Amino acid sequence: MTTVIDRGTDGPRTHALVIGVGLYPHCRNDIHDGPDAALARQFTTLTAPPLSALEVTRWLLAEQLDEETAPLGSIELLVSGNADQTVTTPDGTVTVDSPTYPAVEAAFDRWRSRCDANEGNVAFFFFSGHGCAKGKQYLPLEDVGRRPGSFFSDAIELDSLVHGMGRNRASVQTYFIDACRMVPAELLDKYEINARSLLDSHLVTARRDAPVVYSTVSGEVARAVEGRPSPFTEAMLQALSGSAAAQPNGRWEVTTDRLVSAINRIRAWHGDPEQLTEYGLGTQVTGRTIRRLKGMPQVPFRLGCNPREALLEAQLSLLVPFSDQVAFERRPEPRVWEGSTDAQVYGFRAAFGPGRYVDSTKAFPLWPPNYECDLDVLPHHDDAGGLGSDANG
Amino acid sequence: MVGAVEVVDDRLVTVTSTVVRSEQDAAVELPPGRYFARGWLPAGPQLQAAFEVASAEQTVPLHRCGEPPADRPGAGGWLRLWRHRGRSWSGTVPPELLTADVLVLSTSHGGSLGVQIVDADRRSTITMAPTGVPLRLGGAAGISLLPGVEATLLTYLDRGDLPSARIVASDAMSQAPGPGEPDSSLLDTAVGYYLLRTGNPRADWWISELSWAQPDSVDTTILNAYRLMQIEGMGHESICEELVRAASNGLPVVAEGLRLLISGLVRAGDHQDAPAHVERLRHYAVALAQGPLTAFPGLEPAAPRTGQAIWSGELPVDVLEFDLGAAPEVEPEVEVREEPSAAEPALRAARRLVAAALAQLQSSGLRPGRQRRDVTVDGEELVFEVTPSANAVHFDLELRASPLPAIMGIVVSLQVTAGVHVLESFDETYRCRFTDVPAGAWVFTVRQPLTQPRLDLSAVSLPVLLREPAFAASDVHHSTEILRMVAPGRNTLLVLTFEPPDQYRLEVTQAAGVTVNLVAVEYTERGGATVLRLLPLPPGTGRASGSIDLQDMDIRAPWQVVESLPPEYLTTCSDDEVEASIGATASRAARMAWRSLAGLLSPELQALIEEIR
Repeated sequence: MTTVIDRGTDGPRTHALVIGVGLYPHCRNDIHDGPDAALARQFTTLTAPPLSALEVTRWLLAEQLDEETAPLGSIELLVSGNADQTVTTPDGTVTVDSPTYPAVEAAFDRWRSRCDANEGNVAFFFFSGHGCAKGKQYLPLEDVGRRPGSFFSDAIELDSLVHGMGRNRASVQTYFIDACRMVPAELLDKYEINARSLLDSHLVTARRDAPVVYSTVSGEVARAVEGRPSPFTEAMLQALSGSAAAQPNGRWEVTTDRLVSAINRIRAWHGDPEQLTEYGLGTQVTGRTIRRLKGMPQVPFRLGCNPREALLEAQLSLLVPFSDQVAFERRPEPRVWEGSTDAQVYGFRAAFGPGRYVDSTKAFPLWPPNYECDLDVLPHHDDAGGLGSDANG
Repeated sequence: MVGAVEVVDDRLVTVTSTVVRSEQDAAVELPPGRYFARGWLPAGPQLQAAFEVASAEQTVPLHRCGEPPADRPGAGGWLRLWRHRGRSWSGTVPPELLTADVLVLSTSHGGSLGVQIVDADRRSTITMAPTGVPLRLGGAAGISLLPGVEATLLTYLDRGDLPSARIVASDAMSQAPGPGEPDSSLLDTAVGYYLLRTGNPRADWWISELSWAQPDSVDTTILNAYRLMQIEGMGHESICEELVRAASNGLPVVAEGLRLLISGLVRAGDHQDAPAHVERLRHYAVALAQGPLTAFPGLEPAAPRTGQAIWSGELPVDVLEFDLGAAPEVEPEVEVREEPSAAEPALRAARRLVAAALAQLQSSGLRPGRQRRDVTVDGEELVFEVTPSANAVHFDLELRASPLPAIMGIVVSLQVTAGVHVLESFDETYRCRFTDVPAGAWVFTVRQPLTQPRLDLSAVSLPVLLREPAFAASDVHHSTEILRMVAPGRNTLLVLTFEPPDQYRLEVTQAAGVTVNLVAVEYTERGGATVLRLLPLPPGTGRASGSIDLQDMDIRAPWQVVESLPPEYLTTCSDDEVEASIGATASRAARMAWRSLAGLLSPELQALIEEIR
């Protein structure tokens, strides 16, 4: 069973195809020799892809089910790995199939057909697993290496898939590719890669909004941490949840053109600034709205004082916009204040009582994707003629 | 610097956007209210402002948060210009440099041009170069675009920051409604890439016009092929021919263009020479360096290398040698030394933090310009800020730690040239500031205090030599200056000289006070004992100076100084210490100062003072 949920094709809907490949049973050393063996060694068992795919599925079920722009229409899910391969849906628990080529092909055809049903549909494609590139991007499926002498026959050739979808009626198509974009060139030089196209590609395609969001830049590896969803997946879901949102028209909206910059800033925020996400080329990213948020996005913040040592004495508060009412506060601590709350304008106050510093407040916008600020505070000057305790509040 | 900024109101609704340039005002019209501005410079730092608009015109400064990653310029090398002629590349004489590190290629060159840079380490990089815009020599890619609107737009596109790219491209299009203006070819091309990427309805018209304005440009040909791909009913043949024409004319300037070209040719299938071009071009795709321009390691444009390309031949005749030797003057190099320590655990940890932070700074290097580094070691933070003077030959430096009481009093020595040190210590706000430091090869040392110091926390640990100074035979009868140190606060200059055959003499100079000022020096003798010596400086209106011999000093052991003590401090010292200090006096001014202090001393010591000459 790969269809996790199918709510029909009426009206604009989001139709998702989610693939997480963690096992590569045909890439064992003992069943290949020569260059194939060297290549097979590249495709080791992965723990992050199945977890990432399941996390994406859970997010779609939780956040996209009743979304206003394009509520969830269907999910095709294929996962392999040592993790639990069941998903809880509104209709019950579903055990999903492994991402072998035949299973992926069948799921793809169903997904493509549903996407094609309405021009307002959003096609959502997510792949996590090994990857490699040689002019084109290849996505090896679980049975890659199955056929000796045709190592890549059970891999997808992504570019033709994306360009082939150019004739699909879904006017917004998002492709999230969480995979490496290199394999040692000397290895690939030995191969004419005979991966399969799921669709015929066409040079002439209609204009559409079709961001291909790669977890890493061309020629680089995609990093992950064993036993948890990949950092890219987590950042991507955070971006879709609201970190990639702006308010051009008074509503918080996630648009396709903000995805990469938001994901990169989220990853930099989490201390991973070197691993950059990028858009694939050759398709347009027109900036269509893919989600309208029901409320305000959550914005992570780091607030401190300048000088930092003032934090030892500072009672920090976030004030309700344009008032003195405290929304959140924190007792003096040597560390910066880290948290997350609704996007809006706050007052940020550092109060010191009879301490060495003068109280200070400033208004600041908690604005996605994240916010960091050091509030300048001044030391008391006893000889300054009775400087008040609230200098600029 | 050029950047894009969005402005939101107090409900965070986007109300406008603008392009901002360093030192220039950008005009936006806003109704009265409270607003916030935010943007990111292409290199990463964020721009922010919060402001309230009343009825009158007002200017709001943007604050920059964070620093771009440092790009260390190379020291020099040579460059060669390559021109694509028909099916091959040939070397041609490059133009003269505009300045020591800036090159502009004439728009009359036409066609595809590559600039080969071979640096001082003989690494060879080839960059496809645009004409009519200044190109900076040096940096990781050999050449790069100088900051400007073209570089900003291409970098935003390269990094996928499409909202910022939209702001810059819209601004560019509002100022030049169509492509083809003189000296705007790269900007026109960059706008073309933006319009294509974002599926903008103006792309069709813009790229058509660009094809007329830049008919020989590889970038334009690629853009035109992709424009044709979006025209319903367009024949496969026309698109393929355009792609093959692009591939035959050299290489695109913009890296995105190269990737598009390969992708397009792959989709062209077996059309004419498309497969052969794909096979050739994919070597470039693998070798392509990060960044918006097409750049790759290679000894010639036709042969990209995936690893480093090292030039091993003779210097070709048609090259231009360049020397960025001026750069190191404004490019402080940082070295860190840590002396062994036997201090308290908290102090040791604090010293390790400072040393490790400075070591991290060393590994990343500095660059000209104002910059800030945040370094975290074992959970403790240390911020390092460098601010250059207007002429960038002097710098102010500040080390700022998170609250860490043990760090107070730790002395950092900054060696600016051989034997010249500037000393500063962490104060009660956990800051250590160096001001007006000349550019040069800097060496930081975290100073080690004495094991059981006689002097208190106000003492300044002084630099030690790692080995005994060795002097040429001809110097054996002459004193030699070996250390020149400026103490924290810059009120005291300390000069240590070697007096043959085995003596060290310290000269202390500082602003004269209204009374005698005592300078205390504590050092380690060769036998391991710690000794205290006092040097009185006479009162006056100008500078006061005096000298003292540091007998039997171990130059490799810690030593320290207290710059200012009241005369009454003498009463806390033993007679032996005072007697030894009087005996070590080595200047007339100091002897005179001792005489004025005689009233504080015992009759025996008074008699000793009378004996010294």
